[in-house]
Amino acid sequence: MQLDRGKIVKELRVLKKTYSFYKRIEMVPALICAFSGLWILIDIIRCYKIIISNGNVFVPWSIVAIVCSLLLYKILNKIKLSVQRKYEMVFKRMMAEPILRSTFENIKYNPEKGFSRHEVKKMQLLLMNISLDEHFESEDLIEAEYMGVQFMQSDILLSEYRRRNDNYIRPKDYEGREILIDGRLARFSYKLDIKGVVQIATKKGMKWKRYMGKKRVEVEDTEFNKNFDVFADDEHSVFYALTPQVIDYFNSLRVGNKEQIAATMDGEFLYVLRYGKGGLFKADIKEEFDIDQKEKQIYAEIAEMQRLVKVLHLHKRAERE
Amino acid sequence: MEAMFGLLFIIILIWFVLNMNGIRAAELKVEEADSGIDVALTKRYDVLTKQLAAVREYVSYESKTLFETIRLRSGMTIGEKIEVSDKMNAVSSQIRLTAEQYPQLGSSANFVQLQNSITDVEEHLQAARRLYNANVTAYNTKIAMFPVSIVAGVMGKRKKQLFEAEETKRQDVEIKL
Repeated sequence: MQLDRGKIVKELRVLKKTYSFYKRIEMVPALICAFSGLWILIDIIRCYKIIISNGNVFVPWSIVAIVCSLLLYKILNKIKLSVQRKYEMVFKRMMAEPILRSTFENIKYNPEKGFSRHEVKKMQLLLMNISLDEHFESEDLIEAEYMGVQFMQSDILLSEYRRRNDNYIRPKDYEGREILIDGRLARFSYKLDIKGVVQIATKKGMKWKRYMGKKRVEVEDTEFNKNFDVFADDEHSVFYALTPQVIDYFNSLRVGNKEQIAATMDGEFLYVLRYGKGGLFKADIKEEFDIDQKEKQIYAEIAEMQRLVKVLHLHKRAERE
Repeated sequence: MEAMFGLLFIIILIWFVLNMNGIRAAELKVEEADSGIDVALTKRYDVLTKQLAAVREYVSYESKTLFETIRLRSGMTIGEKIEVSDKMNAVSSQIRLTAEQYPQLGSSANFVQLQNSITDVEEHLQAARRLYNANVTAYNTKIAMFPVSIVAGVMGKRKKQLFEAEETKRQDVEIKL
């Protein structure tokens, strides 16, 4: 796959410079607001001198300056964010999308669309203590087929303003909200003859034998039981869905990896959410852009999607249907 | 002093009853998984019957005879179930090999559908077997660990057998046309 590397780097560099420019001039109104206490104090002294001494009309220039600075700051911040957005769109359209189109046939890609909140709730992913009613964004929806298996993937971001009483230091999004989930959610066609759902998630130290009406099940693999919690409506369905190949696959995801994983099988689809390392189409304008590294990252993510289909034999199941 | 002994006796009694119930609960899980194997074996037998009927004119006499020796009844021991499962494995392997010998059979829609059903019921049997073995392992571990082993001894509980199909037998299949 031949990318127009020169053009990509040039366009992104221009946008990065524009972003840095607006970030610098944004400091001016920010500084004015930072010293607002001082300006108000000066105005109080002026006010006393003017009213008591001369009786002239007093104009509170400090308040005017502060209000104008706040407005200017907001405008510059909005422009800055739009430049950041444009940077991401250029990266997606010029780099990520061509690579995806060269790998998968019949692919549909929409950078502005993703899974809806309602769809994600229906997936019944095991996200303990994380509510899907918080701030939710999903974009970069890919719909494609690989080895006869239909799949969809989208980046998702879940964040909240509320500060949690735990020891985790969470990164913040562009609005200052704490990020709870920032990752990729994929849906694969996976017909299974099971009762209810089978939910798998990275272990979080929960000891309950039941959760949301489902019972905890342990399989024969101790490594898997150490790394993952499994909850299901029916024990037999767990052993039917979690074959030795599936167990090995999930174990391999945990090797040297700090990503959190949540997966659900509902008899029609397999949903896999991987979060903790950001989305597939992320290009941070604040970081140095290394085109080779980004290309490798995109190919690695695509290879991971393909590996899931092959290792779990999703294509063999698709052939049987 | 007597009150202390009385209290101690009650504590031991409660501990004994709790562990008795724990052992019985583990045993019930084993029995439940055992019945899961029965269901899976029955389903497999039914599908194999249909498949054998579809390929009757192609398979060997020995395959048909082998299948006729398979008898499913309620109350079978694990050993008997293992034997039945192994026989079904042998018949299933012979049918697959026969299909490879006769392409017109292997490509027929009816046979392909039956083959998919067989794969499905075999996967269910695998799951039932693994679930049974997981419960038996938990039960055997529970009654072997001290001091629960004392309670198990009093109840007369013994280790249960795992369901281990003899995989090697699946390899010993001759093609007889």
